[in-house]
Amino acid sequence: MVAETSPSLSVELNGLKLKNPIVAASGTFGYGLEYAPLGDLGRLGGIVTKGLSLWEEKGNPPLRICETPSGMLNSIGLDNIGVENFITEKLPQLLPYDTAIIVNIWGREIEDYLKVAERLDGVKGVSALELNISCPNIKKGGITFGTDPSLTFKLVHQVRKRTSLPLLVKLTPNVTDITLIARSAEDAGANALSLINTLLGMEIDVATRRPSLANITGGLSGPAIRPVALRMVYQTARKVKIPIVAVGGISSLLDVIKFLLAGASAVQIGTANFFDPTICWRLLKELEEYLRKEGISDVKQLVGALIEE
Amino acid sequence: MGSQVLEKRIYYGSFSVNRQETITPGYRLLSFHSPEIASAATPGQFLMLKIDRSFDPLLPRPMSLHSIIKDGNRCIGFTILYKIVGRGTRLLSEKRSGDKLGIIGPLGKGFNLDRLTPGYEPIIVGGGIGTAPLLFLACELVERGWSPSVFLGANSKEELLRLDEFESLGVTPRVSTDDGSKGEKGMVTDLLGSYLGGSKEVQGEVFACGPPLMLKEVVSLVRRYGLNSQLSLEQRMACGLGACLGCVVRIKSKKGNQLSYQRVCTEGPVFNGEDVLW
Repeated sequence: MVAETSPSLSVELNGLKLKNPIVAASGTFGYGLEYAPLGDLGRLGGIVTKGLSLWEEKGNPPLRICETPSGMLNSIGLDNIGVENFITEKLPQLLPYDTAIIVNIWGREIEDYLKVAERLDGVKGVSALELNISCPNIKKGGITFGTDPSLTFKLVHQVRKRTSLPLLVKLTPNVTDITLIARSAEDAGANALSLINTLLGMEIDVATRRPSLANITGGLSGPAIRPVALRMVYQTARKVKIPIVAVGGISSLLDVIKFLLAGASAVQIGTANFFDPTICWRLLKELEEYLRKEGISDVKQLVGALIEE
Repeated sequence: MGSQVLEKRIYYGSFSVNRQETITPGYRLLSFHSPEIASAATPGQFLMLKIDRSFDPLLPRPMSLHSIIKDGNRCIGFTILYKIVGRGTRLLSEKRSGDKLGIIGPLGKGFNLDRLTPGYEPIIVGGGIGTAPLLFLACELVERGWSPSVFLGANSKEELLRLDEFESLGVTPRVSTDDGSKGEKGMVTDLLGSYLGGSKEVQGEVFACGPPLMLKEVVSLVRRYGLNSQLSLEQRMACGLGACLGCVVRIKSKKGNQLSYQRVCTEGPVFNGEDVLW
């Protein structure tokens, strides 16, 4: 059966409208503009920026990345230009593109998060915030919030009061039960959840007997972590009412569909941008073709449509 | 070929291997047909090569442009010179004519030739596989009417790369080997040192690529003789486009002498020797 009209691709994340469910993930797409030579940014469902702090952050020393089987470790250390430079230098260049700009923010203390959130509130061109409480590569902040349900609640609750923007909270998989953190974020007023961030890992160079990363440990991403992400999205979707944006190793159309079936309303493409730099655009085209071929009129019909018996 | 034209004259597409040659055991030369990349490229720039469609190895590999293939005056293709060192390059060495690779390029900031002023002598220094970006550079310099001095070093005679190709540009490299099997026994920086310390006072710009210890020595030699150096650096890299921030090196920031981390793919791969913090 072939649908006559174009299938509907738009999704709604509890206050954040996306023209389609394909979003570029934080840390893998720069500030968006790095990929502008490769495709029309305006066709993407959204772009999540590199994690921004109140200050310019130098990040961790090299070596910062290391390839692993079907994945990679990184310890970038949230190297970023700072929220002020983002607003003055990058955001104006992103305005012409009709895509949701989701600004990923982080801090070392709660106060840092609040100040960045306040600074971005009402700034033209910012569609939503993604709260990073899950970076494993900084000594203070980041993951320390995302591994404790009460700290998660406290932080999200306070940020919620300071911003009128839709608020996504990005969760870490480095916990015993991600659904507990997810529920804390939901209770504290998050509009949606992004999961998962990287899995904490390590690699050793036997020839030199040294760790492969200067920071010793780093976050594992790429196809290697996809089944872990899928399991966590599935579990979390059954415990929360707010929408989930899936991220973790998504590298093909089939991966996209799997995450939608498991309960995600949209997906983020991360590490795949590195080895397949036009993948976001291709997935968009392939998703539309798939829906048409399957006679599915609206992509939302796939969300949570997993058959369990 | 199915490549698409990008704004900054960066091309991305699937390119067929024209030819793969073993130039000496462990070292290969790969050629590709691509008038677009060949015309857009400048010496010192690089490409990202996705060696295999599989997820293992996952990431594309950064490779210097080694030479531009011309048909008369038309740039029609390019070559990559590489050493087989790990899984990625081993897989790359198995590619045959017609096999396709995903390529993005040309990328990064190459050598700055505008620093050469009349009377200056371009001095090229390469160590081992560091010769890779230097043939393209020598060729460009010769085309622009310069007569570069070239110094190449390697472990042994077999690993002195592309001497004939430099010769055919009318440039005779002075060479050194660690084992003394060809040229001076010792380091290429010893050769450079004797040259700069010789009777003739040299006014020039040094362009170098090679192992970090060699580059560090080049900088200190060049400083001693009051010259400037440009170094082509290497680093592990994921995207090549400036997005991942994985390929940074330690560079003196513009504001004073503070440490900054700069991307080999975007601010580099060529950096001013004096700015590199080791």
